[in-house]
Amino acid sequence: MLEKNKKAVVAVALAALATSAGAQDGPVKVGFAADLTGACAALSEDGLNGAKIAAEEINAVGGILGRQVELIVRDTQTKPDEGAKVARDLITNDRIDVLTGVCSSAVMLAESAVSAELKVPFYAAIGSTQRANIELFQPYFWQVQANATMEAYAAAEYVAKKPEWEKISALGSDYEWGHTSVAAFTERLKELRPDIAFADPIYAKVGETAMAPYITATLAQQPDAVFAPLFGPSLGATLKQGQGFGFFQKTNLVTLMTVDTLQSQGASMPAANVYGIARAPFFALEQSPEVTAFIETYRAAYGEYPTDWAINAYDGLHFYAAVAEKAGTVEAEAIIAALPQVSFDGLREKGLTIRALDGQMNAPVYVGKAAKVEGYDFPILTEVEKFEGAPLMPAEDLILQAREAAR
Amino acid sequence: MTAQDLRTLWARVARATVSWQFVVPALAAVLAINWMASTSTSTMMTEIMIMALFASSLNLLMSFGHMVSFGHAAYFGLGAYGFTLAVVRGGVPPELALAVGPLAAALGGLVFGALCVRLTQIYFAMLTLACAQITYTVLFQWYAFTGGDTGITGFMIPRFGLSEKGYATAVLVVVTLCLLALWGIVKSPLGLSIRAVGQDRYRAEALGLGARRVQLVAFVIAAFFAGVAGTLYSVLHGAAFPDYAGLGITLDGLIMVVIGGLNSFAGGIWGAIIYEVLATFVSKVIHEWELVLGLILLAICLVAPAGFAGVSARLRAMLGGIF
Amino acid sequence: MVLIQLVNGLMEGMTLFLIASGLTLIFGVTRIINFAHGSFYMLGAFLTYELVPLIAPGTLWGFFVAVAVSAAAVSALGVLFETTVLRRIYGKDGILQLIVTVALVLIIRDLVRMTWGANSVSVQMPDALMGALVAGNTYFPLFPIAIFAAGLTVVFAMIWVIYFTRAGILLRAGTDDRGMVALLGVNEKLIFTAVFAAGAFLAGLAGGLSAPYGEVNYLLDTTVIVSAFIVCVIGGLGNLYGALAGALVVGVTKAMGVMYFPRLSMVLIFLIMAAVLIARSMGRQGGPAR
Repeated sequence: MLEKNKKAVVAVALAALATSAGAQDGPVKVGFAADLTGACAALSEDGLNGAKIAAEEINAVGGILGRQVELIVRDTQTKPDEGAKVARDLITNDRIDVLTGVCSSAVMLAESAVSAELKVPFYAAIGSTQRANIELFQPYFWQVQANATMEAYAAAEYVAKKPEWEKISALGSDYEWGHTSVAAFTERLKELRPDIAFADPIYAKVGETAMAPYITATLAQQPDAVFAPLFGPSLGATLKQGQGFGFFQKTNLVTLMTVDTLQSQGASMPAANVYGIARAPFFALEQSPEVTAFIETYRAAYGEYPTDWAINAYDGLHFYAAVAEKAGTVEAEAIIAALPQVSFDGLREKGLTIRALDGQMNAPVYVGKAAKVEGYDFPILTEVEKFEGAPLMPAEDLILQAREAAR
Repeated sequence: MTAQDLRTLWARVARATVSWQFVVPALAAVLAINWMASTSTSTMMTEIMIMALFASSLNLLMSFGHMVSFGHAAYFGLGAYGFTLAVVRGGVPPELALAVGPLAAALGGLVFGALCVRLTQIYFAMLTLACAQITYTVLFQWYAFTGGDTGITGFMIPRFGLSEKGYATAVLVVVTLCLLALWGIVKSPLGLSIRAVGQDRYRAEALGLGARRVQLVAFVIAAFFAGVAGTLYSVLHGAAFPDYAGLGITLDGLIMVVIGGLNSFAGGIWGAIIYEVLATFVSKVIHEWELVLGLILLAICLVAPAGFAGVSARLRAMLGGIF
Repeated sequence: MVLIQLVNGLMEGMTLFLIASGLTLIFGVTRIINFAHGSFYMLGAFLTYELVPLIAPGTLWGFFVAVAVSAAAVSALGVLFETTVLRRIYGKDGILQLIVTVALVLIIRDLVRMTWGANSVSVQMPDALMGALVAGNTYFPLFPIAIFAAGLTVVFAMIWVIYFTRAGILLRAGTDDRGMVALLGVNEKLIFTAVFAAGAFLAGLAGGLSAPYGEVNYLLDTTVIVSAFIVCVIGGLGNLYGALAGALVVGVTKAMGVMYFPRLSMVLIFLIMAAVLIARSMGRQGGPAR
């Protein structure tokens, strides 16, 4: 305790020094414009919880550059128009130093446009559309988790290692994420396994919960496995309704399976043949002291295990702090300049860096098999394989080509 | 519309009884606030003015034509996308494309309106909803053309590079002109016909009015001004998203009209001001904005069904001698 | 596969009917479009989620009792709303009645989010309905069949009430001519309250019955209300048989659409709705389509 206090005193003294050296007064303001209500609410809430813990930890050791971190939380209602409005207000009215919090792809791009216009750094820790890295990239943006394309690539790498899977179907939600994920997955898997046959992808209305017709149509293709980038409610409905159609006897499902989905499925999860792609499954991370400490703190604060969204938002804020320390200021241009120079040790991995060309972090992707395990009252992923981020990131020349093509 | 028509329309607008002693100070106040206040206030004022125009265009249908549209956002969205797509896909210079937005919305209003005015009451509302959902879906799913659910951003410098204050002034000019035009329409013989059909279509028909034709004209006019609002909104953020044509914006408009006051021209304007100000400040304090809004709406429907305009009219009547 | 899709469609259609029947019943008598119908459905689902683990978990009867109790609770809430709020604005501008129910939607949604959180919850399916009918390599789940049976029961119960009880006679009379019923000395208010109670009960019932088969979260209300509207409009608002036909048409079209017009999934039912409305308007010159 005394030790901590001493640290705080030193930090305050340092802060005073920094102030006299001409830095700005007051806290470092983090604008958390999150989708706290609407379709993204569950994810965004977890992200906020993770970021809160990160902010407390940063403040406990003296803040960023001696200045306390202040989270300013706003709700975008998962609407791009609200997102742009809230982002603009946070920047012009609250004078935030960095913007984050967003989940939905559309809201993310809306906020990214505001960040570009008003030249304020913006990072994504939940939303992961690769459009923000490629054709709509702007210099003030970065994202701290694998983007949608990288996740689809990881799924392809995983599927490629199953020699018994020879015919693959795709069942996706009918919007940008579903379509681009299926395209990226198919492209990578074709390279890895030219022998695999692909059925025509099937797309379900976003938010559809009557999945029986889609399940029937998918099963009629008699696939060995189904790659399914399905949005929340549709995924849950597929897991429940698929069981009665013998889906998990006849085939295998490969889908995005974050901790919140695992928790909400609970006992309804099929017993076998579900493979999950995850971003930061707490049970599969290397159980370093930092990771166990975070899990304990999170459980103590919120009474549940941290989800992938919480861990990424936590890492995201700590990463920002590290970049600001490196830059010696929170001024936007200096932050952007320092961004690619920082090697960050997060909960997920050590040595995470941002690539300047597209603002993408070399964040890992996890794929494992869903199963019930002693010690947890919800299913988790087992036999988890971790895919390093760097090999999943599209090559730089491909990105330049894609940008050229979009013009 | 010929030049002659335009001239007569303008003459009517000019002659229409606008309470200038109220409008001029209001405009002056808006300008003064805009110049003195912070940038974020200017942005908020810009949004309020745009939504005031949108709500007023819906109000033309609701208060005067007694046509409740559940799909008015379609024309807001068509305005935004008409403008954006003309720039992105058509290569039209943005300044020229400004005209494309409202025209696209009016065209949409003509096509959908022609179908919708064949029905009345709740069936009319339901068909407007269906038309709006179809519009929304096309914008949401037609990747190759509309950019799909993640919309279109980064195609222009937002606000043509004008400062927030500068754009607020420009919007003030456009919105004021549009509202005056709407007011002129309400006061014109056409406005009378719209009201007549709205109040009693059979009697209006007996008087020789083509009820459906009048309603269609009203529908197209409302769509046009909603399209102007959508275009202005798209320029403000330099973006267009399918949500602009979604149920959320439609509901926002309906709620504004009810809060502001049904059966009053100013209802749309007051509603937009009150709703936007409340939404901005309440949601900063607590995240249960929907709960608060629900309670406010409940209270209005039970206590003051004529909305803000009704309350202020009653107050003025009570204080009649003083003002 | 066509056959299975047809059955899938009929199954979904019955769920849609359960939802839409209450909405159309309330509209038929009170001429109110109850936007909060989806919220009642959602409350039914969440209450079932709470009750299922308490009442003989896993058993068939436990599940049905849980659903019935939830529906009754939702019905009580509906009555409370009707008597304290709606009753005061009957006869006023239709838009006000609509906005009042929208207000209720907003209030319930935020309260549900505050109570149960934003993440989805799963309701345990009764053990007896977990399995499937298996014929060779073809599986068909038992659960939707049970829902279908429950839906049919509701249909027959409604027919019985409407045609063979005094309440039904009053109901039909109220739908045909409210004023005349009142003139005949029937307590009109009581009819309205009873109809609202029945409508809310049906919504809660539909929510509870469907809960184990899908996702239960605080955004269910919007999804449900839009589908319910479409069904009612296609069938003709206020018309129960119409709602049944509309529900089955929507269900089957959606299921078949997956096979034949996959890219139209989002827009297909709105196109049907628009087509029905336009066709309706062709019928009579000028007059309001009823």
